[in-house]
Amino acid sequence: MHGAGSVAELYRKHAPALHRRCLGIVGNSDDARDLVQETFARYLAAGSRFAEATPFAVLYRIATNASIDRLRRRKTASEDELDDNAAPTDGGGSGADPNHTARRVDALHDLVFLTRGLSEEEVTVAVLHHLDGYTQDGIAESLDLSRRTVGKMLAKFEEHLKKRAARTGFTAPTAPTGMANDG
Amino acid sequence: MADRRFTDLELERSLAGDLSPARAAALAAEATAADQARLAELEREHAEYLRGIDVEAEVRRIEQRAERHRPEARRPWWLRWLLPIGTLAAAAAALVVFLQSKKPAPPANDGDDFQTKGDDISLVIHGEARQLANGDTVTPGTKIMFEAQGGKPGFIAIVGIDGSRATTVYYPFGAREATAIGKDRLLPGAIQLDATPGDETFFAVFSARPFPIDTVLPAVTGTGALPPGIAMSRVILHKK
Repeated sequence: MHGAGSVAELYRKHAPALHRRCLGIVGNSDDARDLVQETFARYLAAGSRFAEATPFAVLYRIATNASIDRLRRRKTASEDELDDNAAPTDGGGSGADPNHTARRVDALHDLVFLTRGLSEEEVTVAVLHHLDGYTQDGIAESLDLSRRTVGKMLAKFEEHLKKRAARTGFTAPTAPTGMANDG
Repeated sequence: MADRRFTDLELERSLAGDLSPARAAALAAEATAADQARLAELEREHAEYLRGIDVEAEVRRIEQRAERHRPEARRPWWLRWLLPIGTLAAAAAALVVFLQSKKPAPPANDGDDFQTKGDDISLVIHGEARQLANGDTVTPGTKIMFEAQGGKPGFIAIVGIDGSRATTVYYPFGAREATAIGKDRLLPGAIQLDATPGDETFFAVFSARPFPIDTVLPAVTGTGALPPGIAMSRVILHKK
């Protein structure tokens, strides 16, 4: 379905952004590069039959979910701490702020725990909003979704969070606050 | 984000040539100095990343990994029927015993879908203009959406197997784990049927608990049984 040439072209176009996405979540460049490979592999194996979105949107969704899955497995396997080097991926240069980085690591811990069971698109939206600080308008414009759809997904995430907290006794210090405040 | 009108994600989509025409025009007309500086910074980062990668070698590794995601595609279809007959027979027998001991035979369904176990799940496929029934004929390029009918909360995956015996996880797309399903049973996203000749069979696989999708692939491909606690519904579409 994809020739080697077209895969290479796809890779050159999208891999840098996907690497930055994965690096921002797993915090380790080697892991991020491996996740980029995994993202393209899943995309190719699916036969590129997804009509509802552009290749970038689908790849970005796979990359985000694969990265969160990787952190889940890392925690399950060894209870490792998430990497404190998790780098901010957006915000136009606020990466040097240590408080921001600490909040980001906390948010990652929470998201890994709280997004289990959500759909891939919902996880992607939750990560963009609660981890990267995107506003609902920003997510809508970035992912070609309507603002209403984004709002519904975030509302579903909040509902999911409440149920999960009620079931497990988990108190999320960062996820409900997010880093965005567009109302 | 001071003085920024466009997100990093939009700027990256712009670099990939993936931005919608409307947003691309907006970016050209409304980008602030901060947006332009960030765009240039991202462009440099992208170029630097690609300089450190042997793209051709990376593509070879990706294609090898992609093959591992479609294990059935590497085996001739007829081999599937020679090797696992014993396993299949045992699994079928076990399934019959389980169903008989669990409850009376389920009521006859309407013929539009096949339910392997119980009434936990029923797969409905919506075409562009109408609901498709089991056995319907469709053409390549047809866009379809999935609906997983059933009253119980739980976890679901939609898996397809095409005429070349390649399996694809359609929902959640490309994932390894089933995902939670709520009250909205019409699953997000649509797929477009490709030109692979032959029948395409779609399975809705459901359980009250999370499950790795790998564990149900033997049942999907006919080489094994469903794990306990998992129900499956099937719809076959003929492609011409």
